[in-house]
Amino acid sequence: MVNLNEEIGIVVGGSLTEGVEVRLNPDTNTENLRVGAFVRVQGNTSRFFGIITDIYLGMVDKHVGINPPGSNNKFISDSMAGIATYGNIQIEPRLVLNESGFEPSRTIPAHFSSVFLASQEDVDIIFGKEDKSHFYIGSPLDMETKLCLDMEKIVERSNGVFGKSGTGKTFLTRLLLIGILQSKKAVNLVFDMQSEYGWNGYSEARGGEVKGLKQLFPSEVQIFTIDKESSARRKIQPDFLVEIGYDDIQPEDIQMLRETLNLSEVAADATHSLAYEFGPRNWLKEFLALRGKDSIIILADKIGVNASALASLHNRLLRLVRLPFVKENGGNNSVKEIIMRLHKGVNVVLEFGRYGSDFSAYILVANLLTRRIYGQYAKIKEEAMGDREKEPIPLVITIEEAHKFLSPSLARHTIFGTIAREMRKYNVTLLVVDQRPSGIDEEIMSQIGTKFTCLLDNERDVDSVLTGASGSRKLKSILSKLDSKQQALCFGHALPMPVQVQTREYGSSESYKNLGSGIETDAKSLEENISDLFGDISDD
Amino acid sequence: MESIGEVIESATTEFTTQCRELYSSPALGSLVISGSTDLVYGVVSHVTTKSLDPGRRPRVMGIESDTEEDIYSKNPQISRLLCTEFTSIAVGYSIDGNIYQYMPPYPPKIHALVSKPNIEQLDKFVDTLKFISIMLNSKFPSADETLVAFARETSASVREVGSFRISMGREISRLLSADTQRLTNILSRI
Repeated sequence: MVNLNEEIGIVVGGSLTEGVEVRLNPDTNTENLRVGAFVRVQGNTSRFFGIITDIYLGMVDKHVGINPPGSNNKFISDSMAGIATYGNIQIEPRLVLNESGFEPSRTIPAHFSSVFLASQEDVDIIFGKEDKSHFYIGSPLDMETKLCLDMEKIVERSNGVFGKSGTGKTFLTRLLLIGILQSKKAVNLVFDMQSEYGWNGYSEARGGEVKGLKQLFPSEVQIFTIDKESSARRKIQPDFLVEIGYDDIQPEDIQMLRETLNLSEVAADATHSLAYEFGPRNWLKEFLALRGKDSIIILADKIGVNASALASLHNRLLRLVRLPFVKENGGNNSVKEIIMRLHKGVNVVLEFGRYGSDFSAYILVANLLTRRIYGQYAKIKEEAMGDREKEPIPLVITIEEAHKFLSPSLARHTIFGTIAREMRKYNVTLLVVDQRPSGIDEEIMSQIGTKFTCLLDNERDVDSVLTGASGSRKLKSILSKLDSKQQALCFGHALPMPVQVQTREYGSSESYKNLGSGIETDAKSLEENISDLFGDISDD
Repeated sequence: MESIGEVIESATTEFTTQCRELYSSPALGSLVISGSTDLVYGVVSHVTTKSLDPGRRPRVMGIESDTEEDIYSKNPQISRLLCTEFTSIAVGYSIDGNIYQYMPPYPPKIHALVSKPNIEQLDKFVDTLKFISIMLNSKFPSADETLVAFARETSASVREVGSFRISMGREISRLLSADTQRLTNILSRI
């Protein structure tokens, strides 16, 4: 490992657009440096911070390459190392620190400025020290130092976690949720598709379970579910069973489900005509009450909709309402229950049990609940009329498979698109988790404040994530070199500069303790506590 | 310090020493010191044994059955007629105990005593190797050979052989990085 106070090289050339060239000192081994690592450059008058964007080898005289010393002549290669043959790195200076603090760098350091690997002090200066509103998310690559996220900035915008499946998105999302929870800057509502966040989750690396939010923070998290059997099977006691009524479902909800229900546009649009005909609260009940093709044809005629489209709509909706949590006679005020929790600062995780893999169920419930909650939030915020005390507590809604909600065709119509576009107008933001970011509407992507990107291998996905990021060409090469697990490239609103992060460990009792969970997570220490209180039981 | 000889020709670039005893010159590439208070350091780059009288050339002295020792023992006047001289490239000097690795401002005096340095003096001088550039750029024929000889001689005498060799290798690389042929030529023989 390189000593952090040792100069690794000096600036010998480069430009602001292409990057600054640094000649490595003879003692610095290129094999110890990695692309994406943080560096500090001591210029004549300013201190710069940047990341390594490229590493290459050179030689003064090309004859060395034509007649290289044999591999058995170590003395010659050692003598030449760093002098006749040398290593260069290219760095991108991102921030400059001067008397007034740091700001994006608009110039480059002078010739022969010293370059060092960044230290904990540097990282603290740039990203902030760990404290109530700065959450320790992991370390920059190859460093032991702690990198902290400014949670205030995180909840100011919608954010996104992207990456192929198996790259650690879920772990990263869990950490972010904990960070938001602990900082108390916002409250979470998580639509937990695979039941990963609420009580427990699965870890491939550990080959077993890891604790979820409720286990770590029992008094601040509640688990809602739409599948009580699944919860029972997993021996979890949910705090509330969500049921949706027919009268809760609006034409917009069906529009969202057009693709998953395989409806034609005409069929989906017909819902509006039905709502107009039967009224917004009764349309579904009345429509589904119809039996037989004839009644459908008559209705189709009456409202001026294509009969076969209406028939297919009828078909699909019948199937949809077979979901056990959809009740003909009304739901159970889930929205009110959720909002009550949120107002008290309690985080809500909605589990889907076996319906997690049914996209229709996921989209229906998420969309429906969000629409109503958002409506309430908008109402409260407007009534508060600028009085900070009365404003609703900021809310972060987590949705997975976001490209199903935010595809270009849907983004304009859905509540999620609205939330993403309106930023924090009504104190609601999104945390989107997705493995196909290219499926997300471009405009929405550009509204996402901070992006956490694990390994992506599809060119289009990479391009869509990096849209609008400055220096995206260099970031692309860093992104492609990420490990397939536990590493993410983070950049955007909450981060003064892009950084490659090794996410902190999650899953051991040590890690739970470090996350500030106060509960006993360790059987051994539980025993110790018992014997402290009651004395050694075997003494009897 | 036992002196080996006296300076008989002197210039700022090099100086020639005549040895007190025949054949007792230091090896090619050795470091030598001339003077007593203000010293001049040199690296032996040319050693010659020849007739003291330039007009008189040595000629064959032995008969067929003589060995080399026989020739010398039967002709003791030989040591009076021949002399061994060596020329050293001036690579540094010291004034008031401070060592500088540049060409000396003044050449050594004629008849200055020349001696070999002891271990401390040697280690101290080769602590920095800035004088290598003087050696490489010297107009002396076979300067490279002298450098190689110097490296070998000094490696055998210094305390820290490993670090000395690497420092030498690096300094030579620094000076000859643009000429790989010459560089590898030298480095492969150190």
